Amino acid sequence: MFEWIRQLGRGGFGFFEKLGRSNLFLLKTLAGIPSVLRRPYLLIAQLLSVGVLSLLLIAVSGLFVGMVLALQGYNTLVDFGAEESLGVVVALSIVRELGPVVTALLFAGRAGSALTAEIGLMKATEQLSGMEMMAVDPVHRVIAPRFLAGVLSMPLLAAIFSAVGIYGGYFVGVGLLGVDDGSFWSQMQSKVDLHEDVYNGVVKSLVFGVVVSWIAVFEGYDTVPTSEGVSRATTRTVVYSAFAVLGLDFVLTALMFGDY
Amino acid sequence: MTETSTQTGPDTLVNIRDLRFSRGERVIFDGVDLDIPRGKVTAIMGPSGTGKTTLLRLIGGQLYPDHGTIEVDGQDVPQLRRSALYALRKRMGMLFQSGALLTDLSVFDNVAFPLREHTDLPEVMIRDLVLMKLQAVGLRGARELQPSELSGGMARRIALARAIALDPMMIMYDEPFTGQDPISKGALLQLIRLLNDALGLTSIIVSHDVEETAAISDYIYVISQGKVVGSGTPEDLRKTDSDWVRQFMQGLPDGPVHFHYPAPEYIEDLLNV
Amino acid sequence: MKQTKTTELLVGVFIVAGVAALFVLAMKVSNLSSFSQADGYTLTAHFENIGGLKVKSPVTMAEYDCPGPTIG
Repeated sequence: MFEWIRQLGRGGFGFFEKLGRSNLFLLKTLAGIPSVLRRPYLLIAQLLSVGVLSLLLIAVSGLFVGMVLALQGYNTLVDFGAEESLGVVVALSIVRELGPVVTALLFAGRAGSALTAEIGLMKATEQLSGMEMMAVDPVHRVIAPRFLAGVLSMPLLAAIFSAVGIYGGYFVGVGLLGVDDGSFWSQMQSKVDLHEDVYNGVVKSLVFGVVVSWIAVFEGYDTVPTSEGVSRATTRTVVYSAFAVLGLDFVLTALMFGDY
Repeated sequence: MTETSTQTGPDTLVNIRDLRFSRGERVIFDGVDLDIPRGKVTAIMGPSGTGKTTLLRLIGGQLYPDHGTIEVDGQDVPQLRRSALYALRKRMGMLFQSGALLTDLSVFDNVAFPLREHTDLPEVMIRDLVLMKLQAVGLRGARELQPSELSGGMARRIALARAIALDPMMIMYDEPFTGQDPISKGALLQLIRLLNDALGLTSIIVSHDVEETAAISDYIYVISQGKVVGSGTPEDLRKTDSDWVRQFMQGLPDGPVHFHYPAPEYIEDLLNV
Repeated sequence: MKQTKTTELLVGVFIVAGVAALFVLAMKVSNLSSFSQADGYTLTAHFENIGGLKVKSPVTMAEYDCPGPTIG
């Protein structure tokens, strides 16, 4: 009976320990950013593997999301005779929510898990240890560039998702469903505010970028250095990132778009 | 403690006194005294799991002892601040069991890594230095290969070239002969001895390959159950009257380290099922 | 380390694409364009009955849409 309580306690301690470790780790990583900027080739190589290689996934997903949104939006709006406002529906949904959030989830699944696996594997094969013994700080040389690349890539990817998505919606709405070209764009332009919507969307994607990149590199750095450990860590990256993104999205949305 | 002929003095590079270290409940070191003389090859041997790798990590400052002092070249390692520790590490080379080469870099870049990170030398000079180090280990022709294309023995030799890139004062070898075929083993053995003498290094080899290691070592420490159970030159240890040491050096299956894992009485165990 | 030209090129393209997307969002999608209404003017009119019009509703005239006029 008491064993169960003891287990709970141990789990609780473990949770707080991990939280503490991850925060200290974040501070160390941030401290390593200046040294990354001094050696841009590290950052550029990571931008390639984290950002550029996610581009196709994000663009295609954005396209389909935009197209489906136009279809669904039209079906509902047409009952109220408001199908001319389709542009508004598509744009606001994507720029405010779907762009940042879906991009973050896809990013966590593709780039985040790859980062975790790569770092975890380096830990398991003693490469991080070897670097330490050669008096090179692995947090500065391996972790910080990857973290920074993730943070920088996210808003760019989210913007691409949004832009492609809106054009996808345009293609379906105006091209296939016969919504008026002019009103599609003009209504959108009057309803989508640069500061309220676009800017807040970018802020959201930056926040998500920091959180997802942080989770991904930390899980990799903290793994049990066995193949089983690495596989469990990559799963954790995706799961925790999903929770964090969706949870933060609620908080940010309430802050940004709520009436207060 | 049995025969410990310590050789303290300015000729000692590494001084370990009364080292105690536990991982969780397991006591790994329980009062260990070691002296590593400069310019010589010293072997640290013992059965698997006695924490020999842990000892190297303690010397390198990756782990902190629970008690005791570890002095390398006069500096107390656990007390060092980060920048001083990093400065000391630049003068230490370490050869990991797996080589620990960076998998995303070519052989050339791997050996060049410490030079590029810690010096401002121009690329032309770095190229020359890398080629010289590779030549010393006999793998100059492999410089464009990727680590994934190397055999285990080759990877270790590249790692050795990398370890001597900054001309360190000492090199630590973590189980260098494990899992090697006779030819690679022979090559590595010769290299370790040659480099030690030619470059004036101090070498610490952690291994349980008795024959090979004894062949090239000047001094041996045998560690078992967290303590030093024997030390001396290879000759001394061959003539030892310690049961521990004899069992280890001669590879006897039973002795002070028992063959059978602790278990209840055999007959009772069989009959109780 | 080894910085291939391809890597740099691709990363450059990526960043340009991202920034361009941000521009599209700013220019074509948001109301930034309606800030620069140099060729427009403000009309003040009194209505007795505004039907279902609300603030910021787009107003159209007869056969074509005006991208400009909003009720403010």
